[in-house]
Amino acid sequence: MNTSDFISVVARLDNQADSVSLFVREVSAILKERFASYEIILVEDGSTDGTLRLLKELVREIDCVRVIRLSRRFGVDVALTAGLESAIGDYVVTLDPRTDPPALMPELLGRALKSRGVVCGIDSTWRRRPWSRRVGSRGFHWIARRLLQLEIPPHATYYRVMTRQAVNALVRMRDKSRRLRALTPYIGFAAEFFEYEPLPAGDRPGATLFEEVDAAISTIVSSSTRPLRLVTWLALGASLLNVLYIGYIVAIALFKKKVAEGWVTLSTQHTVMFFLIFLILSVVAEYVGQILYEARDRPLYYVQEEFNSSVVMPQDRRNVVNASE
Amino acid sequence: MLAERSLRVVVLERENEPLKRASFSNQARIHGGYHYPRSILTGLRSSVNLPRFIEDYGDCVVDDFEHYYAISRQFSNVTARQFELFCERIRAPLKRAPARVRTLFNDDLIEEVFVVREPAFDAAKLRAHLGRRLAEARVEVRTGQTARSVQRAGAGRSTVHVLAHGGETVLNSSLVFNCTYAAINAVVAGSGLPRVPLKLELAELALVEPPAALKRAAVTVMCGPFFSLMPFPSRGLHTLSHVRYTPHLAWEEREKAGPPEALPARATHFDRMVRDASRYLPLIGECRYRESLFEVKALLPQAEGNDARPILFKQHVELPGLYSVMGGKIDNVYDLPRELDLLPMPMPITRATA
Repeated sequence: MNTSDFISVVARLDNQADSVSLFVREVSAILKERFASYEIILVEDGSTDGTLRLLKELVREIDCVRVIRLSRRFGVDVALTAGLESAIGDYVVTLDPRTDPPALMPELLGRALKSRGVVCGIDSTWRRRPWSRRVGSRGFHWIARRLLQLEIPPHATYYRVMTRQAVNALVRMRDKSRRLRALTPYIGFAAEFFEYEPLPAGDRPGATLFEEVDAAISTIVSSSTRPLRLVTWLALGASLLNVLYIGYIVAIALFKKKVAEGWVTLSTQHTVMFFLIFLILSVVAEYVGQILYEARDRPLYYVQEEFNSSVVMPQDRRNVVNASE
Repeated sequence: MLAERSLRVVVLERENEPLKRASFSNQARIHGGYHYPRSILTGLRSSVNLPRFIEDYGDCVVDDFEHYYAISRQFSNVTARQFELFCERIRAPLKRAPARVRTLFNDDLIEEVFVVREPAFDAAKLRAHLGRRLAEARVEVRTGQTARSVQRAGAGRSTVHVLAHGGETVLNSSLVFNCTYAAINAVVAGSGLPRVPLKLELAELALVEPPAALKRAAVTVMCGPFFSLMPFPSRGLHTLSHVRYTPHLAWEEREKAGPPEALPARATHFDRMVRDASRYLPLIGECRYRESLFEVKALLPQAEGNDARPILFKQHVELPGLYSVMGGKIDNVYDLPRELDLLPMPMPITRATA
């Protein structure tokens, strides 16, 4: 391991007065053993149980700790982003103190150094989760892949190692909606995955099915405008159906003998109205999509590296003419 | 100033030369007020005192460089607009930096870059200059003398107990000014008086060789956990300091609380300073480290909120005639004459009895 590399570890703390001290000590011990230069960034996200007081004592005992205290609770993605934007390391590790074992850090960092890319954690216990979650998860990832053209790795956790390049790419995005696990595929930078078993989260309940579906919807909406395009297709399709129906109405009016009174007028009116509504909807959907696309402040692309010609060949064209004219 | 009032003055200096401690180990910045956008009074006084300093100490002033102040987008306590308004109010000259300078900075992290008029001073030349002025004013400077305590000695007189190489000596005086900066409380507590509340830090300034593009430049990023790169004329190098990494340790001295037993030796934080700084200004990554200056820096507790830097001019009522004076910036001295005017001065001593 190249010990001149600077390692940053970013973790979000959320009401963890009971475990923060142990966690920080463990991380500190692991880093101290293997790296000369490191920092531990703890983002305190609106804890109300005395975590803050403990942190103030901890910084007097443990070296290289930085605490960023957010003004209120902002949630995992924003809190980790705050830590990432402030980290100065060549490699940045993010992890959830509740569920991610710090002991895996050296191995992950080793992998990141070799691959020079992102190393991303996968929850190996997904197979043990209830049936409804597994199906929901499968469904979500299918949608993500087919509809959004995003390869969100299934069952990805927040336990990752990112290179400085990847972190810089991530923080250049000025999206208001930051769902880190979905944004990471956008930045590219070949990711390597590792499966691990998260620590049991203790007595804290995981997210309910409702919360997970809710989060999935948010992720889909904020990641892509393709659903809007689907709406456009649907609306255009419905408009087309309405046009065909008008044809049907005309046919009935012309060829059928006994038509109920007022049916033609009513049907025509309905059909035309629906046709117009769907047409308008499709146009509006397209422009809303454009607004979202333009309002987002993401870089269009990221350059991973550049290299140029270096041809080893004698230059044998000489600047000589044989006559003067 | 005291000599100007026809008093006989003796200066006791602990080191073998004056201006070797905190007066040397600092950024050598002659403040123009820009550094304190959250404290109008500090900013205003610095802005007003700058021209006076240049006039009085012209030969020590170094201004052959461009000084840039950059405002950060994140974690900054002021916005670019607030900074502009502040400079207008304190009448400090400010203009936007040209595009070729702007592009040196990381646009994602820096909101705006300004050019300011804030020179540096050469500590070695300042030392020589002051030496001459003190000699001209017939002020006696005794070096290698550590003042230990001040005691009352009858009406209107005090004695100063001094420890020097030869042993203890005692000086009699009617007015004692304790200007020992971070060591103020050593004298105060040594005299049996309650300590002056102070916040102290062990601060590191990294001395570096800047890359060619920054040799004639100074950069200060405002206003929060950022850094500053300034020329250090007395060594021909630049200093790099970082709000987060310069203080290695901090502690408070209060009535009953003294300094820690011993200050541990510290490894440099230069690599951290430069890593963070190069996110804002990539060129800084090319600075070459030479060595670090470590010194104890003193701050008044009330300055915590708005970064104000008033001078402390404290009369010790238990011991009339003893005043503790502490200023954090070199231009602070111009705020003193008025204070001295308000003091009850002893009778001027005529030359015959000096």
